Amino acid sequence: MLNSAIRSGLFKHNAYVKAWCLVTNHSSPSTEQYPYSNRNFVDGHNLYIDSATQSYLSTTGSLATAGGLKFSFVNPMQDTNYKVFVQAYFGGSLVSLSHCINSLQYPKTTTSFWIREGVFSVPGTPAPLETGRTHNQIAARRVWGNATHSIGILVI
Amino acid sequence: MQNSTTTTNSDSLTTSIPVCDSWGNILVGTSNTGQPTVLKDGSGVVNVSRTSAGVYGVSFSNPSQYGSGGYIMLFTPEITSTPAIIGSDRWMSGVGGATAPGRTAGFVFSTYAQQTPIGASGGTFAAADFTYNTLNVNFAAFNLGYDRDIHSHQVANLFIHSDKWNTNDTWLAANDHTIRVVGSADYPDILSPEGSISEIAEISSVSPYSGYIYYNPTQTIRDRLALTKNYAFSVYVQLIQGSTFTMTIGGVGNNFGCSFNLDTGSVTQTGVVSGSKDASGQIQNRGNGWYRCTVVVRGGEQVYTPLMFLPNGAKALVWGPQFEEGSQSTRYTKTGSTIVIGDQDARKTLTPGSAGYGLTGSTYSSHMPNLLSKKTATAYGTIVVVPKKNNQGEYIDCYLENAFNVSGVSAMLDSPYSVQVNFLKHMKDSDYCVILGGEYEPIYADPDYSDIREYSILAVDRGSSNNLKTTSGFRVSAFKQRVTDNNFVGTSYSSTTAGVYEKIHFMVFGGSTYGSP
Repeated sequence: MLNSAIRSGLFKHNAYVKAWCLVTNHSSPSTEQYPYSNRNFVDGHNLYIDSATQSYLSTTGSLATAGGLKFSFVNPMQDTNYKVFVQAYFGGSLVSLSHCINSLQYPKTTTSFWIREGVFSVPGTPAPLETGRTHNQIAARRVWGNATHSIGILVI
Repeated sequence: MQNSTTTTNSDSLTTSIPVCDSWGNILVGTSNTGQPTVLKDGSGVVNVSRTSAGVYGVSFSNPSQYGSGGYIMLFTPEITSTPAIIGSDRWMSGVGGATAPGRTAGFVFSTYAQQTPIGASGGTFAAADFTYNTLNVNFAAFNLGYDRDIHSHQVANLFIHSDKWNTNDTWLAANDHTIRVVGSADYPDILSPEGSISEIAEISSVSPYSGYIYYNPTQTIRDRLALTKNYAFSVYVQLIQGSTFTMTIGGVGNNFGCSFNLDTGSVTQTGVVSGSKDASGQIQNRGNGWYRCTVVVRGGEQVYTPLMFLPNGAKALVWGPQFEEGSQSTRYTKTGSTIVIGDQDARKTLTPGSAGYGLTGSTYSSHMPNLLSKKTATAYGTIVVVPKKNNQGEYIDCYLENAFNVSGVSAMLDSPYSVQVNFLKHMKDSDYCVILGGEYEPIYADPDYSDIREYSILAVDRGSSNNLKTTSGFRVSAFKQRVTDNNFVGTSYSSTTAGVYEKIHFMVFGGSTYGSP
């Protein structure tokens, strides 16, 4: 269930936080191409994942299709100076770094923003390295089948 | 221009200063004895410990706050090594942000080391210790699934066996009232406010006010009520028949409290209302037919017993009775054979040093005199690193955006991947917590390099001599992966050709400067 718990209202936010959400992974086929498809929206306020506007994300971290995960505001921001803090939660070897993006292709607007998660090594298949790479480099890979991996987002 | 300081200062925006629920600055240890894990400063934290190599546990002092919905934790490394010494790469991962059992009282985080070299066959990362005194972990937790905005942080239940209905030591019926525990066979469509079928009782009445449901008084409650403080008595109610429900404090001939009309939402005082024996009430709609009724009373000199009434012919389901000090009902806490006083941290915040609170040394170092709330950010803002020009070399420009209590930011001549943030009002020590968040504009011009340069380990850099994070400011450094050897190294923020910019958001907790002259 993609956006199962967007519970706006009195008890689901901190007055000093403009938006937040917690998304986690659940098992999905390794052929899945979109990063949002294996995200489970656990809880949140003023954010949702719009499946119609997401981008392709390579399973291996192809540079041409680095992709991202788009979050939209239920109630838009007044300007684009809001601050986004992205934190990946993981255990074991699925180490990643994550951040907000802002570019022409992935713009940060008053209504939405993109995040990107760079993953180093993905256990199992396909192999953790993209073809042609000589080192294990961080890249925007799709992560599948790892229920312990999740992302927290805080907007102030 | 090779280097510049900020062009934007701000000491306003006070209405939007972030507030967290817990934070800490933790020196991660390598053993539990000689090189222990130490909470340098923090709030809402009662214990930190090392579990195994690179694995650490943190306990919240107010765990009941975190049991009803999601919460977000943010981590930032605070390093002392120079970039050349950092070599292997480090960052943190918190396991939490969930509501699963065992995660509501705290969380676990790990410090990961890159296994070098990672070659074509791939590799993994492993939790590992780092050289002692070279790595601190800054964290802030935001509990967002709980009504923290409205209620005080005190969480307590002075009832023992709070949900034991129709047993001798707690809730009993008198005269015409009856009470019985119900199950799914009785009410197949009704669950408790927390989603279970257990611990729900049905109470009913056959004649008006000739009977009641009462809490068999304990010495604990009598002692508490002997004090002249406010107490909140609350219970979840779902009316099956009728429209009103009454809660009072009774004993020695005086009953006083409130009647709640759940159809209209009106609350009226009832019983003796004078002097110290006054009461006020509140109804909260908690969904699925449940209302939480709270009556706030002031204790007097007499012995009192909490009571519940129904009018003639009425029937109701009740769940989750609670009795606590204060004028608000906080989240329901189920009790066993002892009472529960949950959030001692609130007392620490309000009265450090009194009654034993705030005197726990290394587990809670407090210096509060000018702080409105230790959980309120003492500085925050965004550092904007502007694009470099082709002939600009390694030096960068930067400025502040939407900042508070920050006098400026400087790009570093000696470290092109670092910026120095200066406080407007200085901190009292350097054990404050800094949370960093990156915002990047990805570039695609160099397929062998640019993509991984987008990802940074953002760190608070104390410097090898511990001289870069001070009471007057802190340094932020960015470390990015280098293709040639896979290591993370200090790298200039912006591309020399693509004209992209980067932003670094930051929040500071602690330091005790807020509100000082």
